[in-house]
Amino acid sequence: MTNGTEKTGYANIQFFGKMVASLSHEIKNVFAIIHENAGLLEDLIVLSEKGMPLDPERLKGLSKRMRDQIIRGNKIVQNMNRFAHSADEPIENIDLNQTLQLLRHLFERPVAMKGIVLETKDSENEVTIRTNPFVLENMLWLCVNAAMDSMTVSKKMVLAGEEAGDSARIRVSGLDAMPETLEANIKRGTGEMLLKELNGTLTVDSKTGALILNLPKSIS
Amino acid sequence: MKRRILIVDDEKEFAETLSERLTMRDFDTTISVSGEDAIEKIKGFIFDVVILDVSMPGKSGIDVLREIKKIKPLTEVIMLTGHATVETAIEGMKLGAHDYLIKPCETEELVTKINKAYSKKAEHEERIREARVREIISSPRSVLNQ
Repeated sequence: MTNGTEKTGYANIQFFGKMVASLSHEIKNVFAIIHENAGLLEDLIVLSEKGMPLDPERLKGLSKRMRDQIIRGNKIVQNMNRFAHSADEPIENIDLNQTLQLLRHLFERPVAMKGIVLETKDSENEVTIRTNPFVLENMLWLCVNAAMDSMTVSKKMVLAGEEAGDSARIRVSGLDAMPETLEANIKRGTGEMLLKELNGTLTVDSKTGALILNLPKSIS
Repeated sequence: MKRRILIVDDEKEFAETLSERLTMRDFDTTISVSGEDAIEKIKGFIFDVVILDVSMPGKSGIDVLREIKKIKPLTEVIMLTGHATVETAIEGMKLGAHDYLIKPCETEELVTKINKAYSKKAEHEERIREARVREIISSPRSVLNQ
């Protein structure tokens, strides 16, 4: 029989796998576009060898398109790298705005697959908390994943961090259907254990259509 | 007549570039950047082959394939997939897709598969025509009644 730590460990590996699979799919799309652009360049060269003049503007455009895709791919890899390093230390100081922006990039594709746009709203002041970054990311994925099933009409989900006295809050808003079982669904399985590791609590605000993750400023 | 191809991929630049390359190879191409738009185009126009991305936001490639097979069962579909979604592409073949290719794919390989898919569609259409002719010959009155 597996104990709680093993279960959390497995859930963390599953989460890591899901995110890496999603990011690698995005990288594949980038490669596919570069591949087609390079192929188009070859086609134009073949045509020029047969006598069709090469248009320099056309070549410049193709070169720019390939460079743009390399920039896009580089951003994806940077985010993947930041995500991988978030598991380096069990407890670290993190800037909530920066973490939520990273998560927007990580969750963008799986959320978009359900036709939903994910945005972040920065808090006015910098909010720094001392927590387990990777467990927090996993917990927020559980929240976002459950929230997607609570969006029937609304197509925009917003992640926002804020200071709340001695603690910090992360709101996942944009939900328009609030099933009574929402909170229980998130906590079921590993959610409860992740919350315990974060010393956090989860509440549902039906009035504003939001899930609220309450976190201490420091768990050490 | 040129072979009519619909390219469905949410990566607009990919769809546009592939479209241009297939046009150079004498295909008549149209693009759709969503499953929903693809279904509308399939309802309104005739395509011989649809090149369909498996993984798209909103309506997935599998959903689109199911609808294509309902609306225009003779239209052949080639699924385009990343490695992670090969299983989905195989599921697509069980649902009636002609074949699949893994992205990034070689254009000449894609062209070969398009031509094979087109031949399969043309054969089906020919068989249907022959069956209609047989029906007319065996029962001319049924045609007059129509």
